[in-house]
Amino acid sequence: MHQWFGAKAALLLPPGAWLLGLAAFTTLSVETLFVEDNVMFLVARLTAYLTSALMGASVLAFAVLFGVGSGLMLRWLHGAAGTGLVVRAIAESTWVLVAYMWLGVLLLALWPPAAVTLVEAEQADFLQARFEQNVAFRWVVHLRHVALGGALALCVWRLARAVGWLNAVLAAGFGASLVAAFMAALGALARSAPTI
Amino acid sequence: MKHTRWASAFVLAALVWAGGTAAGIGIANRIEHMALADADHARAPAPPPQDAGEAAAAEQARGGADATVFWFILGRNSAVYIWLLFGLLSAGTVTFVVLLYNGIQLGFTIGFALQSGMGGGVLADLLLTHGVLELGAFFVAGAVGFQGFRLARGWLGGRRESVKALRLGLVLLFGACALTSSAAIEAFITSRLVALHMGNLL
Repeated sequence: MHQWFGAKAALLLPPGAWLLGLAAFTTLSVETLFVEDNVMFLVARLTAYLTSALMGASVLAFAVLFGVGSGLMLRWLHGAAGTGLVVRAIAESTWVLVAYMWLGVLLLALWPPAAVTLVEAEQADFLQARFEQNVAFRWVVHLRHVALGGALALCVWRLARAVGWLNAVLAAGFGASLVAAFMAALGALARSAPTI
Repeated sequence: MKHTRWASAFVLAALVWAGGTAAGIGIANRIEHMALADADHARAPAPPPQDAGEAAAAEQARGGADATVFWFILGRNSAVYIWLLFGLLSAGTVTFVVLLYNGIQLGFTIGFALQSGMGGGVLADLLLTHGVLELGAFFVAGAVGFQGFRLARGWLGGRRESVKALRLGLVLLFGACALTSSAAIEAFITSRLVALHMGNLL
């Protein structure tokens, strides 16, 4: 068991903190939006929690896929680069996403959304309207590209210190392209959430 | 991968799915209970009867519609299959959530079908014709996806785990064959069974 608490286990801290932030954000959002005890909100709550769990697990898998792509490209470009370098770079850059997630939790705690009423829920895009009204949701949406871009930039910077800027940019670019291609292919296959 | 490891991972995948299905049926029952407590439901009006011309046109159009349904089902099930394999990259977590999520969806379907008066025999007729092959393929993908946990643990412990032992090529080939067959059964046979049973119900 002692191996679990080694240096590698410390690399799991940022993804763990991000997942914790996602769980807190989801719980705060769902429990303030769907307060009433009725059928529609029961289904909405369940769907929201499952979707959030799926999103958390998928982001983890896409991060690993990004790492595999970057690592393969780096090995091809710069034979000496090892797996540990890529893993450390991704883990450290995840702190940007951790900060983003917990900022969202803080904003949500400061400006919680008003509970959805049954009358509102009967309108087609009631959730979108609620997201646009709320300050916290609005800022979380605005900042998502900044957070992703920041994490990617930090990852490139960490890699560049070891293998040079050109190799780092090409490796991270290949990893990001691989993830984007995979997401596009899955989206084209399913055209929806993964259900049977 | 060792046979015992395959078997236990397969059983684990089936158990997670079954747990989700049981939860889905339970939630469907609760929803029905709450809905009945809220208000009396008006029965949905029956669709207007088709005349002979409309029925013939519908039968003629069915060939094309079945093919569309086939490709739709195959695409969606392939996506689920790939999502399940994604557990290899996420310590099995994606596999767990996707199995549970789809189990709940199936539980909803079964729960609401039973509440609407559909008999267990009819439901088995509709689900088992394609479901055995489809679920078998998903459980195989689930068994492979759960190996992600072992890979992650091996990586943390500094052990080298062989990905070759997973025989991913064989798994993908099996998935492609099983899902194509089950999608064909679902699109061309189950859809006719649905029409037959719905006709009897109405």
